[in-house]
Amino acid sequence: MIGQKKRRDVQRDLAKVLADLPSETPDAWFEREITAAKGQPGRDLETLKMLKASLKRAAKKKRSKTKLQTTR
Amino acid sequence: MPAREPKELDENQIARRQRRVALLATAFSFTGQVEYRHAYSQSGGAQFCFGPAATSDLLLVYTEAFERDRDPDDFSLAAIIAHECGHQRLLRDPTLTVVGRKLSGQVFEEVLASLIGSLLVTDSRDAEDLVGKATVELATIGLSAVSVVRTIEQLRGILKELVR
Ligand SMILES: [Zn+2]
Repeated sequence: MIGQKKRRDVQRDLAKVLADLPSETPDAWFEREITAAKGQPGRDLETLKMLKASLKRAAKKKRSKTKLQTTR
Repeated sequence: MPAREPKELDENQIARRQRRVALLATAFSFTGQVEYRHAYSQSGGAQFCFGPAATSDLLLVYTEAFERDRDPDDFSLAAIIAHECGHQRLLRDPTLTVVGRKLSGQVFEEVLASLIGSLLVTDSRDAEDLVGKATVELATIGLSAVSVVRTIEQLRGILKELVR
């Protein structure tokens, strides 16, 4: 079963997990990983790019929410 | 507290939902019975029931799957069904049952079902959502963030070779 947690909350939890990546930002960590993984056997660029994209979307959502709250 | 009842739908509306669910299940190569139940469940919207044989496996989809599908902050119907089809593949596809046996346990079963589901869906956003869900689920076992990402990357890379 997929469970009751909404996608939005899963995205928020994902951002929390990835915030612990050892880099100035998780995005920078993914940039480096993607560059290093290019052409390497056993690496899966697509999955790395997907996680990076999810993170970006979660951050965007958070930004637009903050904006809404502050302009009210 | 009285049980929550879904809004009443006429026969045609229910038949349309049944068709939509069946089409998605077929697209993800589900084997067995597919049923839409116009009721709320505690399942999150869908449930895979393992039968005595693949042809008697059952995919149940409930009202909340359609409500979640309409919510832009929630999983799509396709993602919800693909996750359940992932469970079936894990238990029925001989190459995948090997992976499932080596990585057994509730958490791994959920992680693998989502990763397989991410390889079945056609919408890249659904795939991303399922990979994200698998990642969050795997993190609950206490691995470091780097190990979580590396494991998800490796597992999905392996599953890509095995999911047809
Ligand atoms: Zn599941």
